[in-house]
Amino acid sequence: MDSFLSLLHGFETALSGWNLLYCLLGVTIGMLVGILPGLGPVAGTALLIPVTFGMDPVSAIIMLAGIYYGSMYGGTITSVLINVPGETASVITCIDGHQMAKQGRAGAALGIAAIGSFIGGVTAIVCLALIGPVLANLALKFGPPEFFAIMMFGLVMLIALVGKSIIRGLVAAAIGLLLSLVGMDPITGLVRFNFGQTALLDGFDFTILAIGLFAFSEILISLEQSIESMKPAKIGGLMPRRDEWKPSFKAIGRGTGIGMMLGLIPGASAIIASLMSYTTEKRLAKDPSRFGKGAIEGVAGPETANNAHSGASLIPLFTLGLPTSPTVAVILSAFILHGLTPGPTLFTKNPDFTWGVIASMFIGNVILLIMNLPMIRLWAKIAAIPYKLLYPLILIVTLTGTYAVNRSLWDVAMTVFFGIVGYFFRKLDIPIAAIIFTFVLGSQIESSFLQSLATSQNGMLIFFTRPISSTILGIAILVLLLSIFSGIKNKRMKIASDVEM
Amino acid sequence: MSRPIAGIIASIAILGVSLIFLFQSFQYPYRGSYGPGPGFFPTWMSGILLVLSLLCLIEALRGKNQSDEPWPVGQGLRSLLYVLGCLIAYVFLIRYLGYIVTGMIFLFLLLIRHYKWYIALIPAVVAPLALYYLFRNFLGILLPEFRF
Repeated sequence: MDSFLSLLHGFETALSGWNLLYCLLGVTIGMLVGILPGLGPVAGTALLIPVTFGMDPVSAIIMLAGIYYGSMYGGTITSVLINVPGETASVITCIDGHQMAKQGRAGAALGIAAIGSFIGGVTAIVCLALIGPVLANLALKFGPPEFFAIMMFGLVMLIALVGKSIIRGLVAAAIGLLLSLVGMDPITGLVRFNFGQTALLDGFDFTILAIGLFAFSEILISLEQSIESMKPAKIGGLMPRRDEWKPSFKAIGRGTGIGMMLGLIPGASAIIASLMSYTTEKRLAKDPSRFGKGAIEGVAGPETANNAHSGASLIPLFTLGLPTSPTVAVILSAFILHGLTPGPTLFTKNPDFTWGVIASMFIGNVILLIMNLPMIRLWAKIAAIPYKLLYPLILIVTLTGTYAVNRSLWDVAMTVFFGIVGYFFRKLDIPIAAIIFTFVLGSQIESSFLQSLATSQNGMLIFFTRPISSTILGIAILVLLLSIFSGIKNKRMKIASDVEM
Repeated sequence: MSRPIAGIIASIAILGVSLIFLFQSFQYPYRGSYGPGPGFFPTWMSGILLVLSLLCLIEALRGKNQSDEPWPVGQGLRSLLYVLGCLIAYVFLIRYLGYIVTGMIFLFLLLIRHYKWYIALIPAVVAPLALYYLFRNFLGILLPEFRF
């Protein structure tokens, strides 16, 4: 009951004037970011961080979170109408969604995707509201060794799930950590690794790194394929056929479960959730041959899963301060910029903030449902913009935005530099997601590690003598060993190799 | 460039970076007044990266677990290099020509590949101006001005 009252109070915050507007603004930008290929939620949220500087922390996070879950809705439209994923989590939707569009049933695909997304998204937020406080309470007892163990566990899961080679995953993690060390050491104030550059006194800006490594490299990669504009399909009626409702809702139910489970695991990105949902539906279907030819479950399930995933991925962020995906890492960095400590104290120390954001996500999902059902035709027009016109504009907006972060031309140059680095890393299958993860957590990893050692009587053993940290680290080591020796990695689908969500 | 070679070059490059960081780490105090100092973590991390890059090199030499992403050739490579060239030109020119002029040149150069010049000119002129005023009036951020 306690959380229910807090949630009601949260609605009070979320519905108050400006916050409602920021929620609307956030989900609108999210829709745009989702629809436009080449501009994903990482860049979308990162670019908007400088805009939030003057805002209340609540309004800022309401807006950024809106971009995140809003983009999951938007991506569907491009996938269905022009067979190009608007954001990477919607790749799977292209398969059956575009087939449905070819049969003149784009509306039904978009309609069921919107309904599924809403159900998946809202269920995940209900879970956040129910589980969040309990989990946070538990995590309040954690000390530096436990947090260090949790971060290591997250990292290991990420490396185990992303990319082909464990070694390259570890390389990426180490690079991210080293990059995070550049600049002033938070404990002693010593400036490290600035190589004589004054611009590096404060280290690399997270926004710059994220935009460069993800957004720019994405555009560079897309340039290699010949850019052809496709005429978007006609939408038609929005409602599925009568006999399709039952299987669709079953798919939505399963998609919700799959998305939420995977949302809790770092590294299990939204695309893995939608892929898993798709294969589950195909396996359970009476006639699997329909898949790939416009099966509505193939749209309903995956689209639900990626929305449930985005909602659920906020649970580890709010309770443990652990980002499970690059976009959540960007939101985490916004928490820090606004003076909030993501983690278990959030529910007790900033209840107005926490519940306000949670409540806003209910509202945001309702707005998105309206945007995606009655207003869908409006958005479909945006999906029709040809990519050859779009990518120069996305580049100039991004370049302008990176200047605005610190009003520094050095940052603009660094973004381009990291874009090129990101391009090569993608080509070489060095997981960028691991760099982002360790970079954003770098100072926490270092300080929790050093604090643990400083309080320890017997060095590194402190991590293994405390029950919780030793259990978590034990599991982490087990996962790492399993993934090294099982060779599962080579058999995994290439599609899951390095994606944004 | 065949694939193992790319992997080998990358491993050696990362090896070099880890060496630079390792030597730099030695300049920071390894021990502080209470436990480990500011040099402790960097030394270990760059050391670990050094070992990992060696392992990565071995993996590449054996051709195990290598990336199967194709490298661009022909038209794909040309358009990639062209856009990269435009990006680098943008970074250099903006210091002198300011945001608006550089932005216009940048957009025009990118759009002229796909559109007739008089069509390319419209977004190329409008977008930087719009962004300039948007950033100035709504965010209070003045983008770099024209100066020599």
